[in-house]
Amino acid sequence: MAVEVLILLFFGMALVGVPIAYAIAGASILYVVMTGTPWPVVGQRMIAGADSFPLLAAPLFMLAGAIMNGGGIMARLLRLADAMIGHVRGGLAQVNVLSSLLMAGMSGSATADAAGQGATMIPAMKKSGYPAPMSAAVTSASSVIGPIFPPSVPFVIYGSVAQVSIGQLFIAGIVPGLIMTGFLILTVYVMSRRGNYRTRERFELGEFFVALRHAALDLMLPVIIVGGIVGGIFTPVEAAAIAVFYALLLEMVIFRQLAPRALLPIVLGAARLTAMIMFVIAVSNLFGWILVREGFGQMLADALLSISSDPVVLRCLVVVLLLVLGLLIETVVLIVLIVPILLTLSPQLMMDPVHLGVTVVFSTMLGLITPPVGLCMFLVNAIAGISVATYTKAILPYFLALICCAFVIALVPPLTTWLPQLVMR
Amino acid sequence: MTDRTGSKIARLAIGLLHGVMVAALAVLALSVFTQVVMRYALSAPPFWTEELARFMLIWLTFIGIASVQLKNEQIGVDWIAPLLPPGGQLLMRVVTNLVVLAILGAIVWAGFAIAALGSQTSPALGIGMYFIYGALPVGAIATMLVVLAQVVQDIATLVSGETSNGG
Repeated sequence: MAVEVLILLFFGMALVGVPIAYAIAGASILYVVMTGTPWPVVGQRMIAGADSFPLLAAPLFMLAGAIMNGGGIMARLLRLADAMIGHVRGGLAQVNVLSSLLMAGMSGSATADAAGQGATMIPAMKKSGYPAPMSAAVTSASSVIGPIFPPSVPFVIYGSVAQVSIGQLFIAGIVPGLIMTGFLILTVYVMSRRGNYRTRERFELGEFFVALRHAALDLMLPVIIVGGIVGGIFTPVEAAAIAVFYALLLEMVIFRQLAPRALLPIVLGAARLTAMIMFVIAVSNLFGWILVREGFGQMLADALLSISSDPVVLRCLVVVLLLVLGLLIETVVLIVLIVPILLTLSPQLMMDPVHLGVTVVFSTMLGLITPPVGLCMFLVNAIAGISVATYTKAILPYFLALICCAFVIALVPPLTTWLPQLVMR
Repeated sequence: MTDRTGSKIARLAIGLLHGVMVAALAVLALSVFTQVVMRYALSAPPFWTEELARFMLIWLTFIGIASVQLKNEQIGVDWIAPLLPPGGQLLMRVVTNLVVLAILGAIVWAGFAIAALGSQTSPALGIGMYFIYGALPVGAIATMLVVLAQVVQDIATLVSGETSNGG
């Protein structure tokens, strides 16, 4: 059976509404049946996809994020962000971006940040006179900082698929995370020039120190995670488990913002999210094995190389390809399927696997904030009560800023490679 | 009466499913945490934590898809259904669920095929690999039950809904 048929089958089933994971599994199983591939391969590849030690970090970081979203961490970080940047033009919108960066240091996924921040920031921005579409757009655009700044669930997935050090990927995400925060702050500044949005009157040093003291224990967490990984004290998986217990300690013992009764639904929610993502990874492992067996990676590589062999042009092509595919395909699916293919191209791209990983994750994550399948978009639209069409108009400037960012990261390797080389020897 | 006992059994089954999921994630987190603590507290880290955590993730993954199905939280695209009238949407859900059911059936079969090969024991914990590979067929069967219940319910709504709309 030709690989084109396999891919058509997958898209056909997905289009009529079969959930993506089952569309992938169904197409793969038909391939196995039609080609007479030994049957145990199906179960063996699926189990192998779910059986990975580095991947354990993904459910643990998701659990830690869910515990913190359920507690009072958001309020403490917002106060700090407000004290730091609330006086700048764009006021609360700037606070939204900066608190996303602070939150990114604790949680590793964009959707968790969009949901957690949206619930507090969108109503607050609307109340202060910001238009609902802008409130939604800033929240969703800044939520993408979550998976770039460490820790990061997508980096965990990339690292386990590509067999790259997850610790190095985490460190490599620090500079790009700061750059995108800067780009977004600038965009908010420009976009706020017409609206007369209320801001804090001026920067107050006293309030800054009070807010910093309240958030100090929270801010210790990213320090522990990054410091522990860089110092070789623990692995990313262990760091994730420490994050879970640190979050429990903060919210249940120290600040007492989370009742024991509220914990059960939070753990169940994180468990369900884990199953949802891990099942996609498991079936993609089967599908990806078939794609490799059929030489699909080489086909795609040849197609790209026939356009150009210049690394700069190729890198731009890869970013464009990922942006387009990211519009159509869910990000986790895209990462798991495309990474083995792109890795075969890495000599021609002249990108090392860490640089490639940051570029891939950054480009695919942008699909989260765009129609038609962006999960962050759906989350913020539901909270702000706006339609996809209104949202699309509002997100455009922020989306363009982030696309510029994606090209900068793809074309300037030191932005991702310098820091890991400096601190991890 | 049979209806009431039926829903009671369903509630019990869902409670059991969710209990297993919460326990799996909790054991996963605890065993990784134990691994770090013990490594610094004792000179020799425990040998079983990594394997236990990995096995918990495998069970959570394949058992959990039943719960994902129950809450209709699967990742998917929703382009065609919103264009249809309510009855058409329901019909389409029945059709896609039947496709899912067939795929799950194949996964159950594949799961048994791989579990049958798991006669060796795991290196650290020394338990039979059937118990690990078994997560795949068990999870797929549980999910099939959920899908079946949804299909039956949708068809019932479809039949009764059409009679009331027809007037």
